[in-house]
Amino acid sequence: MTSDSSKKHFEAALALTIHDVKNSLALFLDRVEVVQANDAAAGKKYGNFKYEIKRINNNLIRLLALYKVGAEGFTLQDEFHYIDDFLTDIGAEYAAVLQDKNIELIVDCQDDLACQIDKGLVYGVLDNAISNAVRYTHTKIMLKAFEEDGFLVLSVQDDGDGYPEQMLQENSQQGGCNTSIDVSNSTTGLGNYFSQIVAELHQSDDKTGFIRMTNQGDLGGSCFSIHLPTGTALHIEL
Amino acid sequence: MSSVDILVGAKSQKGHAGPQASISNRRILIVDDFSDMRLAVRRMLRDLGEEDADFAGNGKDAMEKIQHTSYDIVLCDYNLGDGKDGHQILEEAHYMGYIKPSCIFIMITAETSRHHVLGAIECQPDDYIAKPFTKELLQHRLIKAVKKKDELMDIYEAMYDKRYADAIKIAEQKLASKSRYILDVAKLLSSLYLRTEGYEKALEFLEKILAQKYMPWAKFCLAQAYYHLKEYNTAVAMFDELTAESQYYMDAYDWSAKCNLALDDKVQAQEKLATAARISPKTISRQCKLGELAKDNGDLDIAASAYRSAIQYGTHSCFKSSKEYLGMNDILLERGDTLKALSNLKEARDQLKENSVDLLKVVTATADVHAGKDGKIEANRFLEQAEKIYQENSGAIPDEASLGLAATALKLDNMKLGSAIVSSLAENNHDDDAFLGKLKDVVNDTGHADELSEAISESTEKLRALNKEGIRLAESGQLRESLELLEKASEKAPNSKAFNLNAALACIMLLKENGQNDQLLFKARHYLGRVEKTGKADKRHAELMKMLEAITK
Repeated sequence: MTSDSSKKHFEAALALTIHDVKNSLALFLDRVEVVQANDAAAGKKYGNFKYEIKRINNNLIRLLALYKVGAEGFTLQDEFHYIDDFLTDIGAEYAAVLQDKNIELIVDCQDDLACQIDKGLVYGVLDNAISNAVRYTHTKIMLKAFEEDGFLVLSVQDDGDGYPEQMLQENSQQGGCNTSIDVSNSTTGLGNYFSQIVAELHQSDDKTGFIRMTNQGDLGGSCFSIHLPTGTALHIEL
Repeated sequence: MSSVDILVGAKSQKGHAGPQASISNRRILIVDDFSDMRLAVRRMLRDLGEEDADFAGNGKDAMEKIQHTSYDIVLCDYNLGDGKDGHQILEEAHYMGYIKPSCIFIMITAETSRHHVLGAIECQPDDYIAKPFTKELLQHRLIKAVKKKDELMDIYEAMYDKRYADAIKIAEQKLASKSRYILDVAKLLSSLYLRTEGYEKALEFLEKILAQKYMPWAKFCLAQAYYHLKEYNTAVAMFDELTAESQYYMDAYDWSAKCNLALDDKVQAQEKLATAARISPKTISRQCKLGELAKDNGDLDIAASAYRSAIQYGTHSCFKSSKEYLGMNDILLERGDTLKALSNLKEARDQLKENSVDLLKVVTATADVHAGKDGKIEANRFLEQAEKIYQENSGAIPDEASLGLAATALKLDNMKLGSAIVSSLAENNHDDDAFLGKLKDVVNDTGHADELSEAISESTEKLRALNKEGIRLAESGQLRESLELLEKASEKAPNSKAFNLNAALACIMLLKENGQNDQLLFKARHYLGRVEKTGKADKRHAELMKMLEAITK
């Protein structure tokens, strides 16, 4: 087998596997819903099931995205999206998990904020950040989007204890250079590595996207944000 | 208040507000090849207040259901196993006119990113949802789709009714309104400009958009405009850039190949279609075109495999036609394999028995193959069959098919049938010198020039005179007399473009003079419809359509 054809086989296997696992996850989610509906008293304990289903799916999406980004002929599929639609979509996906875990979700975004982004990739980044926030928050998670200095800022904030000091230090020492993020021994590292790649793929004129992790959010806990250049014109004149 | 209302904007809410009946009592179809998945989706819909939904497990089943029930919502899995995929279902349903403008079609995919094939703007689903999804997301997306549909409904409706001038006017007005759906309107408007041959307008509009933001669809439409303005080199470069950016931009490959053909580069064109057919093999028209090009380029193996794919995927498709079978027939004959050719044509007759035009072509080809291997009795048997189909469908057979039958009849020395068709073709095409040339070639090639040349010129002269008289009457203001004459003439030559267009024009002028009149309106539509049905619609046809639309407003 030539390496070219084995690559093709691998791609086909990857696509089919993902398709199949996603079908299983969808059915699993359905089962959990049914069991939960029949067991109202113990309803809350199923929140973890749904959360883990989300996490498996998030990992799958990230794996596939990383493969594609590295593959030959990759191009960014950036299209115009209304950001509030995008954020409320993600909110709707997490609604059941958040309800079961008694977490309040706040979406803060002007309804006319539109930007050209690769929705699939940026979705993976936010999904990862929310998934972390669900684990570490106390009572609230906020998805906030706004425009600042030619960048679209998408942030995920919570009212938990915030990032450990050591992690913030490591992050600031690396100065936003993804090659030094250690992916070998932690999934947090993998998530950040992915987020940074996605951010840097978004470029416009002389601006390049980046990520930030601080404890200076509006809710007092951690604040993860991805900053994507908005380009020359945010609103199009027709 | 629904959970979705709560989520939009800078508001907050603890968890979500539970199931809401915000999409209730709609007719819904769920298409998925896994029965468990269909049940799972229905359970979600029930939680959202939708008690009932129909199921389809494959493309064929889905098409039947869509044909017979006018659904409000179709939730269709993209990947349906071996048969049709979701995109094909949508494309065919559109083509057949089964999808009413208000129907919301949502494609369910395995991936969040755009991995599925991209086609024409007017054939896109209203939304994509990636698996696995929650009922809250489904509800959110459905509400969003309904809102968008409501906002754009009048454009969709005008397009569905082919009131293109209206659709353009509405879209242009909406564009100024700064609505949230301004880009969707811009997309529809671009496709409308192209459809109504407003290429210069499309060019200006799309250049303006692209100067501000790069968007692949805008480039795709712009390249089409360049193609129509005969700037093939510019167009082909743009289409190729699009396929380099996204290898799933299927229509861009087809258009790129079209440009190559216009530039007389059949080899390049073949290569592009071959690439497209590898990525998305199920499109029948593409496989046929590939077969045709490969045959012209001498790649018989590639041609045979393309036609084979077209036949295979056509089995359960409304896009199946005689084209792929006849293409295959040519190749088998070229290889000297008459037996296989005959069995191919037999399969074609089985597959196409419900379409008289396709069936006529295939039966005629069968007679030809038998004639070619000295099976005169068999050949005449099929010729008789073909004649029967021709007679039973008089007026509904396109001229090319009739010409093929005439050639076979003359070859088999059936002068009665041959000369009848030749005369009728001459009458129907008295206004088309190119076709008359072809007709004369057939007559010459089959060795019947002596008997038939005169008949051809007689028929054409007679009808040309009639048409002239009709025009003279109209010009001298005798519109009713003109219409009467043209109507009579058009009964004699129902496929004649000149008669049909002039008759329609006479109706339109009478309508203008005397105001609304249902009978005249019906007639005008009838004659214009005939032109369209016989595949002879042109610029003048489009102009008359526009005039008619202006009157009926």
